[in-house]
Amino acid sequence: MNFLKILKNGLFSENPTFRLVLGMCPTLAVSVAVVNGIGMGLAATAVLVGSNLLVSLLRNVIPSEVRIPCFIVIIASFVTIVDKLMAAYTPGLHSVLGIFIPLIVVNCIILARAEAFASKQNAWRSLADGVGMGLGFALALSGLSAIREILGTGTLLVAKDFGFEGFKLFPKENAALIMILPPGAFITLGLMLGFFNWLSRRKEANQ
Amino acid sequence: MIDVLVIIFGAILVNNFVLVRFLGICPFLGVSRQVETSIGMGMAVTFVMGLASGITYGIQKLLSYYQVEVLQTLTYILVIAVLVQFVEMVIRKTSPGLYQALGIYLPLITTNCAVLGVTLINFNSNYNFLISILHGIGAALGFTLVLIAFAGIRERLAAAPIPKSLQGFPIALLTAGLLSIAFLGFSGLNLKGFFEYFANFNLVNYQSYLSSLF
Amino acid sequence: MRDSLRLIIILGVISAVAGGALALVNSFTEPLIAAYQAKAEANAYQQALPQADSFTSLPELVAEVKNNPATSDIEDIKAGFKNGVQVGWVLKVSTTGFSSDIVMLVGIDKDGKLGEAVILDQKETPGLGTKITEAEFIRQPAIKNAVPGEDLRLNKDNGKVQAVSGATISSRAVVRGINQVFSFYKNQTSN
Repeated sequence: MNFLKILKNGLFSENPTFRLVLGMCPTLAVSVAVVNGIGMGLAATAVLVGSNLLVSLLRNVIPSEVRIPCFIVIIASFVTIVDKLMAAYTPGLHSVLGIFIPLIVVNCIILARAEAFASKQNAWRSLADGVGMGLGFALALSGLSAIREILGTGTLLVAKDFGFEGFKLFPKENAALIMILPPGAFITLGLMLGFFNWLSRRKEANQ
Repeated sequence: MIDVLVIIFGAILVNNFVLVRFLGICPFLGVSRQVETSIGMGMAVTFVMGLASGITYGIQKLLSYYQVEVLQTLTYILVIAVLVQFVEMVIRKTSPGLYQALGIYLPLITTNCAVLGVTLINFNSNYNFLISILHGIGAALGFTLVLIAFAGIRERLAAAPIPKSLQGFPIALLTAGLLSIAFLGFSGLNLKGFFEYFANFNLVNYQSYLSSLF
Repeated sequence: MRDSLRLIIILGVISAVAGGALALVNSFTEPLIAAYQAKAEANAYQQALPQADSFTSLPELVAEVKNNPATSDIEDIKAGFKNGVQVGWVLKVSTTGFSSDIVMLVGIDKDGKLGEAVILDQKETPGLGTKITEAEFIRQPAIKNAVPGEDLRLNKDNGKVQAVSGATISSRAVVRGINQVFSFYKNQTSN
């Protein structure tokens, strides 16, 4: 029960992207296509689950004076492992995401969860938090990239590396190119954040 | 010389770290509320990025020599974290005035992905020692330029009647989007041709060109 | 003192374990990554000059073409062989596009017939300049059937190559690269 509650917390009520507004760089950069968004989201989830679990298991071993360097070593190791595995098994996706895979190291979400949650809670709950926060990030990325991919190219879920041609929704000529260019990332995310603010404000007003 | 100028100005305008490469968004959204603090942050980042570019160049040579490139991410981020701490200590001891100006921003820089980003880009682009440092400084100057411009806009924005749901981050992102459209105009800038023209500038040719116009 | 020693030891142990784990992962991913890169490169060369079955580098020739402005964009040259007999060349050409360098492999056989132009790397504007990689542009008859000696141009520049609309500069960069290949071919066959 508790597990599900923590999971839900990460996915919705404390969604790292829309509620905590953390980890903006990869969110804006890779959200040009849904497959990139999912790939980035899952890579970050893997790192988050690994680092949360290990930090939590070692929370009584690591002295608080050197906890930040220890966390950084742990996170950087998981990032490198994910980076190498992706280069070996999904090379196409790996080259598209480029330097944003090693940059997961400095993604504020991961260090923030290690510091604020995993270093204080038991392993089971930290695992739940890692999965919830990671999938919350992946969900937000997929949503943002779905809007940008549809409006910017007229297609959805194009993933040539995985042999998937995607759905053609409308002709390319009618697509708004700006959506897959950098300004489209800022504007879409700004409007999405505004929309979620509006939703929660309306919910509060109803109560 | 021309190649150096192309790399520096390319990093400032064409491949702007914040608006085109999406690096350093967190401080960009968090710190850029006032022009004054933006200048402080910009100076601190420029200093650290220049230094980090130089040091990671040496580290990479060591990693390659011992064939442990797999430790790249790990060592880079540790070096940057130590570097930031070290810079903070040195500035506090030697120049209290500078520490007053930069001090509060320094700890934030470790998790600024622009710093780790620039060192990885230097490595991927095979830049040499000097070019790495200049690219780091150029990229940081581009970051500073956008940070200050954006802070100027946000100072005005504070007085504007914004719908409640859009206040804070949403309007900041929308504004950044408009700024990004402006920077899209730089994407086709032929810097190489531009600098070559001035390097080969010949007054006599130019005068004959002018007289041919009339 | 004993306390700081403890801190150093713990940090050291964690780093050592991390390093060991990374070495382990690296030991089985590295061959996979290297194999993938080798295969991707071999595929690209094969695609550029389909009739060849093996390729060898010609480093001396690269230094030579670099000195000639008509072929100075050529970065790398490989000779393609079939059953030990040379059938053509594959050239790696890098030209300046709109917002990036466009790197492509172009194959040309002994008779001057173009193989395929394979674009390896470009960071042009998404949705506009990136269309140069699509078959509609890069495999159009005006490019596919071009022959050495012909000065290839875009229709905008009074030629017959149909440019990608909205991406004249990117298209021009590709055409410039192919013209360099033709110049190389002429220099090779004339002496």
